[in-house]
Amino acid sequence: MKKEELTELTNKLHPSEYSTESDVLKKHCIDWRGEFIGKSKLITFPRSVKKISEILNFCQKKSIGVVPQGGNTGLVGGSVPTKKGNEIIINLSNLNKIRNIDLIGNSVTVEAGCILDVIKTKLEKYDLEFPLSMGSRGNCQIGGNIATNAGGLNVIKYGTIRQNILGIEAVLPDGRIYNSLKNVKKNNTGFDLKHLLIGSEGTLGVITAATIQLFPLPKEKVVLWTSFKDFSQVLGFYKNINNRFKDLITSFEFMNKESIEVLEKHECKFINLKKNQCYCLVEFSNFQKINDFNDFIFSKMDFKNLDTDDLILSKSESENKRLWNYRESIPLAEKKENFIIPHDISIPLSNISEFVKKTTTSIKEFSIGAKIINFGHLGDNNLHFNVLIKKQKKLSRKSICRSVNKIVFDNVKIYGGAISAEHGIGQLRKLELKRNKKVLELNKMRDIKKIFDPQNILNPGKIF
Amino acid sequence: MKALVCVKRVIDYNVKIRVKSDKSGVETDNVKMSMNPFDEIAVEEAIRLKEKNQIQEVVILSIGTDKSQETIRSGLAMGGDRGILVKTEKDQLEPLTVGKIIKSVSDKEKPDLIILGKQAIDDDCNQTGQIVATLLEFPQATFASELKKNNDNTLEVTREVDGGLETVKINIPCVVTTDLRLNEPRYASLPNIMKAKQKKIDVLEIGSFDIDIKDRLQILEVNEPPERKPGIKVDDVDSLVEKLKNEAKVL
Repeated sequence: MKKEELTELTNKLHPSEYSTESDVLKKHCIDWRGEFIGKSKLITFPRSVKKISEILNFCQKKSIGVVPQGGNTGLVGGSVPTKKGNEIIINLSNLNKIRNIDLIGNSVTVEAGCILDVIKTKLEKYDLEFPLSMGSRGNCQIGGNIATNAGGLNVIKYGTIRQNILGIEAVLPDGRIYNSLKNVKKNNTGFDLKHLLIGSEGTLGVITAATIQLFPLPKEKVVLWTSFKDFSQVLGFYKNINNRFKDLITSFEFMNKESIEVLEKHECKFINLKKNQCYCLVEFSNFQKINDFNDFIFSKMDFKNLDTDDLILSKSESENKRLWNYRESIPLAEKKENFIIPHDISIPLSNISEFVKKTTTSIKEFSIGAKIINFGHLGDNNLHFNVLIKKQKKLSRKSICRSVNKIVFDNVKIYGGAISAEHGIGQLRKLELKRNKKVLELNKMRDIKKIFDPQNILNPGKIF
Repeated sequence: MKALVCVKRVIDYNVKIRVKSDKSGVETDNVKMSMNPFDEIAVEEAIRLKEKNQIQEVVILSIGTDKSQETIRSGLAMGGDRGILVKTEKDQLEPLTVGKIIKSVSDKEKPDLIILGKQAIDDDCNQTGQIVATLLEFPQATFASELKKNNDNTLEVTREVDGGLETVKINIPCVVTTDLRLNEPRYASLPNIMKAKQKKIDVLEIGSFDIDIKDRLQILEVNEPPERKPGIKVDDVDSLVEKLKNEAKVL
């Protein structure tokens, strides 16, 4: 980007809508994990959709790369610029109004920069539930959630964000505004373009607003915590309670022994709970105003086939929080480890046990002392399969990563899974995408990218 | 030795409180209710004494509507032995009334230790323990953060006071009110929830007590606290000092 171009672009913006200061830029050029450190000369914080349109129009004319950025909580380097240093950042945090809450149709129209937790809290006042939650909810923005088709903790009940989006507003790379903010559930009028933008990781357009379906807020939630000797018991338990409680289950989370070990090492002590090989956290939501919900859950449970060493039912919201805190602090604890190789994969439930066994054995053969930190949203086949490596002198980090990834992803392929379940591709999984996606599918994806963004200015270096 | 633990059913600590539109009180319909957290600590402490064989029986007492049985039941699931519900039409009674009821139950049960939360998180009165001790003419140790039973029938209680910690020695029978640091209450495990189902809860009608339960206070209006205004950024120290002096008037 030339100096004159930079001046010309910033002249279109209010001084509070951009920064060229290195301190500010530095913060926005590094991803949450600290793995991807990019470069940029300009970050913009536009206050209106029109301004975003002007920026994109200008950038397309001058062929300047643009990185859309929300809360920058992504885990695959999708929301930061590349090392090349010739992209500018459009940060959406100033576009943060809740435009409309429809209390008859139960939907909300929010701008991209709204923080997830802010939306959730606001809607609770109307007894409405926003159907998305995740550990980063205090920082992540809805625009980024949509651009990455976020999953999170309640997919078992509400699906990923895609299932609940009624309409989208986005600025296309040439600056034109695409608007499908219709508040209707049915809309069979040709191809549904919004579904291309959902999960496009900022490569097709800059999402500026969305209308999202809402659900009734449950009266209360009860958390069940339990532990097992092995993974097959976990699956048996999942089947057992899924059949019995289906609609009342809003989360089904799994953690292995190593997850709790790393949690205790870096984050918090595990109090008043028994140690075991595997742990499950199940959240039940009281949607039907059932009196004495704990007793209801207790009375519906099948104890005869319950193969568990230890099971508790929370008796207050404080206990819910405490138990959830164990699960949600695992990624924070992992971040404090020196060398973790993360994998966010999904495996069909029927194969998951075999996959874990085989992959763990192969990794331990490759690196003695490696630990597998397994946790995730088991109810959605989603496993975070993270490998904690003891530093080896002979091999470089890069080559260890490559070998471990190969073991994991080869098995993902054998067992019929996906190499990225909810985190996306970004910069981290580009190579694996090429190796694992069929050529036909990849080519069609490239064709679509060309139609939307012929000059490849939007989030270059991501996905492809 | 017997412990009587008094527990109250309150709006869950983590629920955002909403004021009723007619300002007569706070919304309790369709709201999660749990045991008052301070009382939960009292239950835990009594059970720990029982596990150390210093207490033989833990009785859980609650006063309120039928729904308070849930609260007693969760105390029994933690390890209490039996429950007593003094059944009333409404959940909220004034501390003096509650104190009189507890005295009456205590006269019958003859506990060596009456243990309860220092206050309930709904009305925050912090009176019941003290009133009970006075009515029964028992020694009291309030705001306990540590509790030890001696062999000479006394309790050594560390109290959280303004200046720090104070340790007192009191004779049994006595009243202890619990503070947050005393312990971390246990979870209710499945086997214990099952056992609790079999435990007895005696239900006593408030009418059978010779106590006037009429409120002596009249609530005129309940209001939400005023919303906090967002902060502002000032450019430099001078303007900060200027604002502190002239706007906030704190300097």
